[in-house]
Amino acid sequence: MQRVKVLVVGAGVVGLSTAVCVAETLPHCSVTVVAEKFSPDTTSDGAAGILLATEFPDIPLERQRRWFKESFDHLLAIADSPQAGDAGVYLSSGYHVFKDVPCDKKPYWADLVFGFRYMTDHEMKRFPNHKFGQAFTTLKCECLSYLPWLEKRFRVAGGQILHEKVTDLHKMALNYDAIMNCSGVGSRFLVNDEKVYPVRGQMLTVNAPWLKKFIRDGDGKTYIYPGVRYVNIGGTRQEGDWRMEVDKEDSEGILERCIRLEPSLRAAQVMGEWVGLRPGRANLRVEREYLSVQGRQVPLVHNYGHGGVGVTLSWGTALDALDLLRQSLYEKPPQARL
Amino acid sequence: MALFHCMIRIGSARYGSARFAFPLRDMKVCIIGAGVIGLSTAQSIYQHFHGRVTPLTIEVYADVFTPLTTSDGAAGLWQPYLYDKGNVQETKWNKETFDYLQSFLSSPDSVKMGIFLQSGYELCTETLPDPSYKDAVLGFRQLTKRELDMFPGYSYGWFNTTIMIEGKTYLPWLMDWLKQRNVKFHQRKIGSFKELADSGADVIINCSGVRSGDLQPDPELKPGRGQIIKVDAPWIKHWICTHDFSSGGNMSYIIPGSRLVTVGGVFQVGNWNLQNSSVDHKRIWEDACKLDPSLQHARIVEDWTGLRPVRSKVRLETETMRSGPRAFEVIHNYGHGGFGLTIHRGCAEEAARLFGQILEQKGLLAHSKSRL
Repeated sequence: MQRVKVLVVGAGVVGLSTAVCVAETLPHCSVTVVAEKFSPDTTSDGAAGILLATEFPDIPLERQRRWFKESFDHLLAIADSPQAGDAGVYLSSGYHVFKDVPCDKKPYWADLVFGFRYMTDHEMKRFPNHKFGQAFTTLKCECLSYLPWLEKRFRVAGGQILHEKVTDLHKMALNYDAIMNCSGVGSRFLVNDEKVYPVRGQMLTVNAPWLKKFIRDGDGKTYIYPGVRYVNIGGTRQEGDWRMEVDKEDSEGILERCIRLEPSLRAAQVMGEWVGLRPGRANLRVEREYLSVQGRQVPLVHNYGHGGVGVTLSWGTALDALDLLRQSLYEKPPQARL
Repeated sequence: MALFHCMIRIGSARYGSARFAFPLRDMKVCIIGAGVIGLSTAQSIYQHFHGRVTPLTIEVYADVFTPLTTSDGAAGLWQPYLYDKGNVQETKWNKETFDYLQSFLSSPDSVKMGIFLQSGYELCTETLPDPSYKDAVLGFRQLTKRELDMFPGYSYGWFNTTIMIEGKTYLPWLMDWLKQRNVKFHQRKIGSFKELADSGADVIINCSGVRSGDLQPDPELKPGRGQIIKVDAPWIKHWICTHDFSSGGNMSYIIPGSRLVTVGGVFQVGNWNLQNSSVDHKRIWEDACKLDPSLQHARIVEDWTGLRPVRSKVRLETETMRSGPRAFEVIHNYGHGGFGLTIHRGCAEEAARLFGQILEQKGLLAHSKSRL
């Protein structure tokens, strides 16, 4: 049987997860990942990678839940294995505190993480500016380790890597039987999706090895996530902001807000600053279309628009994208239908 | 000496109505032992009596100091034994220590003290009654079935957040604190209480831990040998302790510190051997890798052996002794087993209270209304 050539565009957490899913599940596919940026230069590399999610308004909740569950279970198996340290995947417990009581006190993923409960009044005393809190144990997936680990897994499954910036999918489709678009915020230009917009996030890495628990403010703008060696503190959520340069005022704001949440950070040395553009979109896009290329119908599976929940939903959406690809390969393309 | 007395009298006359406690001579307190018990007792005594008893000289005598004490090797997890077996005093002292440490967590000193919060899992092979400390720690709850699924072989357990106190940081912080207040340290092995009494000690505080038997035989005091492996596995952010009463006290645990993860353990009562055992190492390592498979790829840094000062209960009491015609007091504060860091402050405060009683009995502590 002739090998089916699949091209995955994008080498962030979504691209590599999708590529691994295809390469490991469809052995008759020969998979290539093409991207301008690889770890440690992708958006995913700066993400804290804590598994928790906000809801997309128009996607059935059951589907979002399934994405979350599949990603969580996949990562939990890694965390509970000898690979955990290499992959940078491990359990992380902490507090999610809200300045105002949210309408939805219990998110859809509450029963998918471990030990979800509301914080007691005694626990809330530590956060005088906050009125409500959730305590739970979830997973943290550090892409600086996880992406190289995925890449290794991809190569073991026969995957190929191409370092190239893709600007024309039609051109790429000349040489491939199927394309999977995991180009994140780049989809704005690559597929002219005006619904995609950057949500700029700035983050600091600090040396505070005594911090073991995460603290996140429900507004998503202030967080402290203990990483493997350093602690990621942040952040910002600047919509429509394409700036990749570090903003000193943002750094000062982050330090001030995080020290208020966790005073011991005063003693922490700042190791670095980082900026990334979350691929914002009202709703995540996992769907398939076809590219007409020289008389052929080339399936184009989209898997982008994960906003701030890329790591959280990476494996689940990759599995959905895989399903769409599989369907495309086994059913006749639209043009041939009667 | 007469001039000194004269000056004291002049002093009290000058300051009129303030009733001051002036001893007829130096009040010299000598503490034996510079582990967490000795140092924290020195601190409590200073805090309560500096300025109320003048002059008050505090000296610490020990043959080993940080980082070589038993306290330095301990993982530093605040956790009493599951049940206090009626030693309600100990439960009280444990909680007092927790609350005391908790009050420092948001202070600028917390990092220098080596204290921080950490959550973790307590795993049991059978359903057990809630532990004595369930209300002292934070967020205590039972483990859910899904959580227990991560730990095959364990059918029940608890989750909670407790405080870590790392001896290698806490002890230097205590020593600095004491040195800044003129507490003197002497590196010397003390052969007997009499030796210190004869050199001028009025009150001796015996914080000599597992070797207290060298100073005064105590058949109830035994070494509880522990061996640990220090591992570089910084992705581990929770402690895991197992409670399996069928294991003869050798219970597996994984406790991340600020730098390395402490993996243990054994609890060999009566074993004085301070050498690391390769047999123990193998068992500890295999059990821990079963608890957390991610350890298999972790880098082992070093092994360490320490002797817990095990006793049926903590000995915290005053004993009057004689050296020739002279009587002197010894306050014993030893036998804290595997919970020295956990209980230290409560015991230090109690030792200070006992010291206060001695001062009162000697008429050295008037109920002073005001201090200068």
